[in-house]
Amino acid sequence: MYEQMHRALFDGDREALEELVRRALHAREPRQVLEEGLLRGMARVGQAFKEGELFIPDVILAANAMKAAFALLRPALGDRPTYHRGRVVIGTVRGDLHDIGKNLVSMMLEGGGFEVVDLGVDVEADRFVAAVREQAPDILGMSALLTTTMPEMARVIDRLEKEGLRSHVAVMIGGAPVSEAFAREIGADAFGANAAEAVDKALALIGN
Amino acid sequence: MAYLAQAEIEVIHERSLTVLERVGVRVHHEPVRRLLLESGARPADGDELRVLIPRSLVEAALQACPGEVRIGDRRGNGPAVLRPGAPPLFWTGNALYRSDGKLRRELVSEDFAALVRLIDALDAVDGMVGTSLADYPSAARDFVGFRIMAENTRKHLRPCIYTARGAQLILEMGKVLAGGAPLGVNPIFSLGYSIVSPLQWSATALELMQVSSGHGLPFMINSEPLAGGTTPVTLAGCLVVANADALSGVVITQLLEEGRPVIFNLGFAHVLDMSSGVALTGAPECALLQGAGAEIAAFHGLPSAGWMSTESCVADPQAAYEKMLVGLSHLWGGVNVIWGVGNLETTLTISPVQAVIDNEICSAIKRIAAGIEIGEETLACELIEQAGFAGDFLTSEHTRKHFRREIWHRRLPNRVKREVWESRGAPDLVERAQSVVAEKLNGSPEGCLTPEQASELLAIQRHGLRELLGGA
Ligand code: B12
Repeated sequence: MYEQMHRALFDGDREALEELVRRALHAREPRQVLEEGLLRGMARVGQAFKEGELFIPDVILAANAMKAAFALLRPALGDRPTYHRGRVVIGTVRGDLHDIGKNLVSMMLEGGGFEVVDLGVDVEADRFVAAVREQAPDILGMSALLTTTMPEMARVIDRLEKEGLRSHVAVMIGGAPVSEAFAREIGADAFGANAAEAVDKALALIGN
Repeated sequence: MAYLAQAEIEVIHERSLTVLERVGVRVHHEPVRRLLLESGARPADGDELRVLIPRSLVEAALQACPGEVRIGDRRGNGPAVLRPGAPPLFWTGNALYRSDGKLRRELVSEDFAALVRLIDALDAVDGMVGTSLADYPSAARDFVGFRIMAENTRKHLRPCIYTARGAQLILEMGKVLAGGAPLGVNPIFSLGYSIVSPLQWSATALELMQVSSGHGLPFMINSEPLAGGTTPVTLAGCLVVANADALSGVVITQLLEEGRPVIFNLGFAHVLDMSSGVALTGAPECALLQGAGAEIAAFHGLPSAGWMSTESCVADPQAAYEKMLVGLSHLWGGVNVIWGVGNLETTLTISPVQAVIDNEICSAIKRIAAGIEIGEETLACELIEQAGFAGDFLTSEHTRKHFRREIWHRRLPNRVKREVWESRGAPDLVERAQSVVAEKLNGSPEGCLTPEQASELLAIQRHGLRELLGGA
């Protein structure tokens, strides 16, 4: 049964997955369906993507199927009705309109079990700070594709310090001109070179 | 046409016009939005940034564009004239890093000056594009870079603009270089900017169009779609978006300056690698999109541009074959300006060694573009009869007269036999390119500026820096 769920995730077949979850609910423990069926399946999807067997659109479809199937499980999950391992607030910094990389990272993070709040592009430092305050994310993700907008990331970190929020949130950054060294220089906690790495680093940041 | 039949272009164009009428463009700049609305574009419900563009507006704008664009320089041969069907020009490309063997490092102004001097010495490269300069504040990189380019080469200059203020300072510098002549006569520099595909014009792009209007200065309108990312993954759908993107730019440039020469550039099109997430530049699909883009430009009666780059991180066979593949395909599509000399790593890096190799690629493509000349002199029938069966053409005057033009002599590729090659230390292509770099990279600037021009440019730079940094 779980093997079939994994298959449905690999195929991005939402209806098949929903049907399997519905049937499983009669016979099995809901938390086990979540862990063994959906989450393990998504982990296998992630692995297959890394190995070049699945492609980005496959992972996105799988993540959407997983979300739909989870909605069916949710009422049965009792006091912990979530599969999220953590929450990420993400956005492209002020002055920068590049969003494909950021969107990709968001989708892969969702696939990896994170709840993602996407603030969009051209995001002012104030909005990042407000979102950190209101959403209390585990991780703040920032993207910059221009050398002209990279300094904005340092500014946001500064603002978080000033507002006393820095210690509440891990900061992860990325984008074509951004590097590990730059991340260290501005005091970010992690740098992700691509979407798969972003998921690994995010998991490491929340201690998984 | 190599990529699209006339009827196929018509279908694409028709669909792009529909997109502009139904989806429209989002314009993040109030004055330009107002200008569009006053000129016949329509507002859209529920989104004050969105403007719907009727086809009559597009058609009028296309009518207003000159069919030829002059691209000048300071070499004294007069400007090159770009029009559909003209042979291509080759320019370098934007970059963030300078490659250093298998490593890369930040590009600072000293590297950039040396790179410009190298490019100046490469015979098949026609223009220099601005890059990032890590040792200057980001908003200064466009005008500081422009000054460095002007100091080190007489070739065409194409700054990459970061702010409208940078463009204004560059216009001032350009006027110094033009020595009082109108900027549009022999445009020694040109400008351009990308729409945010799909269908959004940023404030910076529009401010740049605005401040640089009124001089007859060429403007390159770039659509930089990413098939599978910002547009449909199907190449046809990508072209519909790209054509709509660039047409909206034509409308805006022509409203700001009727008759402004524009280059219709669908040639920065990428496709998304669905495994790595990289926006590919050296794939065959890039060649298809960009060549087709040039054919669409020609359909509008406008010159075109494209990029030849590679995903390889070093100067190696992958870099050479991808750049040759895309560059040569551009010739078949009729691309007028081909960017990317020296670029590696999806345009993030520029490499002097690769620039030297690319110079050979450009030269080879130019040779193919020059074609086979047919005329009495070149058919040489008289000579054939005279020689009869002797077949000794080597000693003929005709050979001496024509061989240089017919068989382009190139020094970089290996064209000697093994024994000779071995006696020279058996260098491979990259090693030979490295020695050219060593020889040319550190040449001294050869008086590209008069002392007066040099000090005026420096004064403008200083003024710009003072504005940015305050005081100092
Ligand atoms: C597509 C593109 C555009 C599109 C963007 C469309 C969109 N909706 O996003 C458009 C046409 C709008 C555009 C515009 C411009 N661009 Co642009 N663009 C690119 C291009 C070709 C690809 C970027 C991309 O989408 N890649 C695909 C995605 C999937 O990859 P990615 O963004 O790198 O993201 C991955 C990683 O970096 C990482 N990542 C990204 N964000 C994050 C965040 C976190 C938290 C983490 C962990 C990881 C992470 O994971 C992602 C997935 O694997 C790059 C070249 C390049 N090689 O990167 C130039 C590039 C970034 N652009 C450049 C420039 C100069 C511009 C313009 C200024 C050009 C102009 N003058 O018109 C404008 C600026 C507009 C603005 N204000 O932002 C330069 C930057 C140079 C510089 N000095 O900074 C580049 C490098 C091209 C070049 N060589 O010149 N661009």
